[in-house]
Amino acid sequence: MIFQIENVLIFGTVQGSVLALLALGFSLVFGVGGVLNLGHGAFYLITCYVFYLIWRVLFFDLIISIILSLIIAIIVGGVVYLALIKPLQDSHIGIVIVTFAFAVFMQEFVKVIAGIKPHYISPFIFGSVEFLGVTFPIQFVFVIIGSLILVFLVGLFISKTKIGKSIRAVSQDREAALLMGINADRILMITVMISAFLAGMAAILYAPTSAITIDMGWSFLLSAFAVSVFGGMGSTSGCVLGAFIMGYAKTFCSVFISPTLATVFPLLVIVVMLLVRPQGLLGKKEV
Amino acid sequence: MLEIRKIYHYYDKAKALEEINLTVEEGSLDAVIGPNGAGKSTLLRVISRLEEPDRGKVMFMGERIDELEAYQIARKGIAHCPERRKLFYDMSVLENLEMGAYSLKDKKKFHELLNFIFEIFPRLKERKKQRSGTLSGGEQQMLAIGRALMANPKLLLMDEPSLGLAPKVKTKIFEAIEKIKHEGTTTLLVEQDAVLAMAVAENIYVLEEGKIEIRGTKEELEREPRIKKVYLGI
Amino acid sequence: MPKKIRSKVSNTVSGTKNFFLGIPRATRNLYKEIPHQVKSFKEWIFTFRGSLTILCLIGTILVPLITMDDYIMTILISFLVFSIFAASWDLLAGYTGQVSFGHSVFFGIGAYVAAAFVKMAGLPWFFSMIIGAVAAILVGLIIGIPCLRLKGPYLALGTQAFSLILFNLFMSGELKDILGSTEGISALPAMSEAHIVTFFFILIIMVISFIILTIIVKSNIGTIFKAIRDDETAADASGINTTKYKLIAFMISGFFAGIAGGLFALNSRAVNPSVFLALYSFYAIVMVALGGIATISGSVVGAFIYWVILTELFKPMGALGTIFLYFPTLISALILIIMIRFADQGILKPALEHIREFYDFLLGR
Ligand SMILES: Nc1ncnc2c1ncn2[C@@H]1O[C@H](COP(=O)(O)OP(=O)(O)O)[C@@H](O)[C@H]1O
Ligand SMILES: [Mg+2]
Repeated sequence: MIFQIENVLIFGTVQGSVLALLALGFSLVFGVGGVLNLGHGAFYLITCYVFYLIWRVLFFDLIISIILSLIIAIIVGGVVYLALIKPLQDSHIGIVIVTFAFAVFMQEFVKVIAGIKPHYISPFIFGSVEFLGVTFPIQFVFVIIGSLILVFLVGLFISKTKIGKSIRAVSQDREAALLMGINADRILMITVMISAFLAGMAAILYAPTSAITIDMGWSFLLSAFAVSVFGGMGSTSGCVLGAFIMGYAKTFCSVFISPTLATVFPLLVIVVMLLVRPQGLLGKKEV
Repeated sequence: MLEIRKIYHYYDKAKALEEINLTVEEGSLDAVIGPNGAGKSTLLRVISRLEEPDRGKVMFMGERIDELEAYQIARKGIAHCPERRKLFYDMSVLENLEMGAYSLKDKKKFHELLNFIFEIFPRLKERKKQRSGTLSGGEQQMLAIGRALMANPKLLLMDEPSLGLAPKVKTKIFEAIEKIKHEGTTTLLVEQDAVLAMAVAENIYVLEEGKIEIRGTKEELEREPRIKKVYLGI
Repeated sequence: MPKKIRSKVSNTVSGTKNFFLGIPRATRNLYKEIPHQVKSFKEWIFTFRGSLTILCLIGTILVPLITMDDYIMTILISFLVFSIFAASWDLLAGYTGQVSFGHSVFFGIGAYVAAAFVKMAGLPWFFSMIIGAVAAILVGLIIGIPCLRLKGPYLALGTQAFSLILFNLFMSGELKDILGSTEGISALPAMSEAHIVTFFFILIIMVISFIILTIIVKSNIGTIFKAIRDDETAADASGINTTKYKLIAFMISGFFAGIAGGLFALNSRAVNPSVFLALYSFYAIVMVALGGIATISGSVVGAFIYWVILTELFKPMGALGTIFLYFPTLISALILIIMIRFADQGILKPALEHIREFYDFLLGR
């Protein structure tokens, strides 16, 4: 029993860390542009395969592979903004459809290149550590520490830098931000690129712990959506809090109740939250 | 300084502005008055390009600006203090003022402006660190004006600064407007309260149903019987 | 993009009213309908889309007389089945404005229930199919009720969440005894002994479905659907019970998607959890976008382009092997992006318009 609770704590923290990275970007983009980017899961997917390609197939150095993969993720984010989101800014449904199509496109593209069978990115360092009597791979430590550092940095960036403040300004009141001389379109582009970067980081840290498959983008997309809805769309602190609650709840379900319930848990959260408290835990925005 | 020529604006098919001509000279404070729904806010929104005019031209310092984007116009030195304030409610008072100075490069000027604003609105100085969403209505209006001034604008557009305020607070705001005028900032003021507006403005435009019906100096308008009756209630 | 629209954006996005309510302007353009009013079937045949639809159908009927090749039959049957599926999405999204990304739910439930009744209860395929479709109606209700409150993109993602819930449940190892896990239900009896008979059964069902759907959208209910799509608040204000009609739309749409799913399972004689994937919802969207949103008959054209033209187009390149089999989805994702992306900027639309004008010119209009 105690052992299982420790399990929940550790695996839940890992899950929460990954979700925080994914949901943070998704939620920021929503806050700034009012845009639901269904290509968010595809950012994760692409980075996984690019990282796999550069590191495991082309045998580049680990650090170089990480940097290259992230650069590609950021570029993809910029392209998605310029080609798909910007031209359709006035049609929220239009954006949802094209980003959905983008996600399908990427999945099929990866399928053509890499095939449907799963691939394995190996951990940065093999081996395991023991903590509280639970043994787990070292990669988990990377996930947790990496994610915490990133979340902290994003928080700092948002509250202290000029661009960060502009991001907050645009998401609070786009019109007022324009009147201050802020180029809201450019800010949205930067935000989409940040979200791609964060999704890419999540991929690089977490993907080595299990197999990568072409259809994994969807569940990550919906998890990010679930966490954002749970924490309140566009609320950064709600998002991080939501991610960890979700992480623990999911692991708890899977350890104590049933793994199936754990997989559908985020989805149930979406449905229930949208119905019961559409503004999320901490959010103020109306759905 | 600002010249508006034959501006038309429609919301879908509903006409909001019809053939508006208007000029604001450098250093003057002009006012547009008119009843609710006359199109006053729309006029200011067209100038700062939050709305695109359907026809007509807007010239600013000899340059055509109606084809620029809103943020570019702000950078040209037109500050718009919008209707209902539109503060960044999750930010502190100081952060709001910093956002106002977004396109201001000069650090020294920044502190000068900040001091000026804290001088005319001492309340804001006391509440520097407070979240702007928790300010009272009057304080929020002061902050909105301060935020617009932080851009060191060449032209200040003000939309109903007295909206929803108690008479005492209104007076305070208008005293501040007087001070801003003395600093030499060119201002175009939109106001429903004709008495207040006519107390500070030089040239006055009366906007009704999207058209400028009467225009003139303060003295000229005070002589108009219709203005007396409808707007001044004498 | 027309400048005019852009400037409106700024005040819609930050203003509180009308944010996700109603359909934003640009999307409304996607719903633009045929310029001249078409009254009777006879007139409709001679419109651009009408003749294209009839051409697709006649072509389909003629093919089995020429060849009985299994591969071609498979493609044609897919075309028929998916055209029903696409039309059902069009009714919900194109006509009622409820853009669902979880349409595979109805398809999947229809497929599973039909398969289960054929296999476990030994019912004839037609009844199983109808039972499957009725089950899909129920699911339409179950999903429709909670989703009624959601607007625009939220509805899209909310419905997608439902489809993923079902996918995970049906995949689940724990529920293997009830839902069959990854294997699903297989080894169903064939719909009929001869392939060609199956083909004509499906063709008949498809034609009947389209006739019913067309009657629905041309009727009063159709008008109400469109009113809800164009401005829900206004529809509400004018006394329409929008909740009721949105639910009706979910149910009708669910029924026909269920029919399509049932036929899919019965024809392929197996079903597995992948029918719940986002990919199947994507099929519906892309086919409707290809054929024209809010047209119903456009779904036939869209499905034809997708299953016959796109699939066959790459077949001559067969030398490159199976890779090209993946292309329909890849390419249609691209096409969908381009269509939506440029729809109101007018690259693809005018092109179609020109063809239509030329066609009208040929007919001396
Ligand atoms: N975003 C909008 N959409 C449609 N009509 C609007 C919009 N904003 C204002 N209007 C209409 O335009 C007219 C002028 O409004 P406005 O400029 O706000 O007037 P004022 O500021 O003088 O009260 C009014 O009839 C108003 O209903
Ligand atoms: Mg106004």
